[in-house]
Amino acid sequence: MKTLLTIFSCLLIGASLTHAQAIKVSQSTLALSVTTGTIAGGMTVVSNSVTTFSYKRMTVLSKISVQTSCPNQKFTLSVQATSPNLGSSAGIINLVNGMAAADLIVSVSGTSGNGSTYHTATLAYKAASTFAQGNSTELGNDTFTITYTQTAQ
Amino acid sequence: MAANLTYRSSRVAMVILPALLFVFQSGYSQTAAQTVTLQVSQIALLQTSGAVSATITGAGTSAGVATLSVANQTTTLQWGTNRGTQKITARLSAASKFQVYLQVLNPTAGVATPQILATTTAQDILLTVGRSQGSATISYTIQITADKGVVTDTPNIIFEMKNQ
Repeated sequence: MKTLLTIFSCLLIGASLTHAQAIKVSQSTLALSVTTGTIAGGMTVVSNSVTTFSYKRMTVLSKISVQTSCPNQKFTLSVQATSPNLGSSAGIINLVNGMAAADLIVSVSGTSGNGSTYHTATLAYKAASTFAQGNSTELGNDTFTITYTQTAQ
Repeated sequence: MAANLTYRSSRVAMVILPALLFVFQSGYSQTAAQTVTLQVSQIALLQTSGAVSATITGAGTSAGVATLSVANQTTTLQWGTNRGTQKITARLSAASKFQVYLQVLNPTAGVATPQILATTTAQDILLTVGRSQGSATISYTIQITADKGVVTDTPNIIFEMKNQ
């Protein structure tokens, strides 16, 4: 009896710990550079879609939201989850220092199992600036710490 | 008795603890973070809308006046920069047979200087144009004295954006 309880406990704890790795990004850092522009069109927007975002089902319906911290933010950065293979993208999110959490992916269905399968979406970033916003040589780079959070919806 | 209580306690703990962990699933949140560094290069763009073709015919010149001239305001100067305080200068690429006076008019940003006589040395024509996008009309007045006779020349004006 004691042995069975121990095994059962281990299985449940294992299932819980599996969920503890539920979301991740394929790279912890990313560097974007806005380098060109035209007089008529302003600075040229730079796109980057090299980051894969991975997430699992929770036991309940869930969503992924995004927040950012960027002290002394000068330039413009947005993100969109594209082609999620579970749930729906909430569209383009402008990343602003201190912003409230904004939905990135919604309607991630729940599962009664342990949700061990990773689902993915591409994080499509767009970096932009205006002539009036200046440049990094004089003002420094912007460093965004972007936090993705999965919660029950 | 004491041993029995201990066994019961551990059994309860073994059931409740994982159960609590599992129930916690519905209310938990998970996070992942990514650091994105955004760098913006310095940009300074400057262009004119085109070339100027002007002919001094002498028409309208009063008798006894040695200087003949023509005025032209058909081109514009356009710029865009994300640099801090900048200015725009003008100079001739080489000495000209003509005297070329110029001034920018109605700039959408910055402050125009008074008319200059262009030389091979750069002179300020527009001040305080940092971190802006704008345009201004280029006003030329080209002169030559009658004693030079019939002359053709192609003065090349160099506009430059510089730190002020």
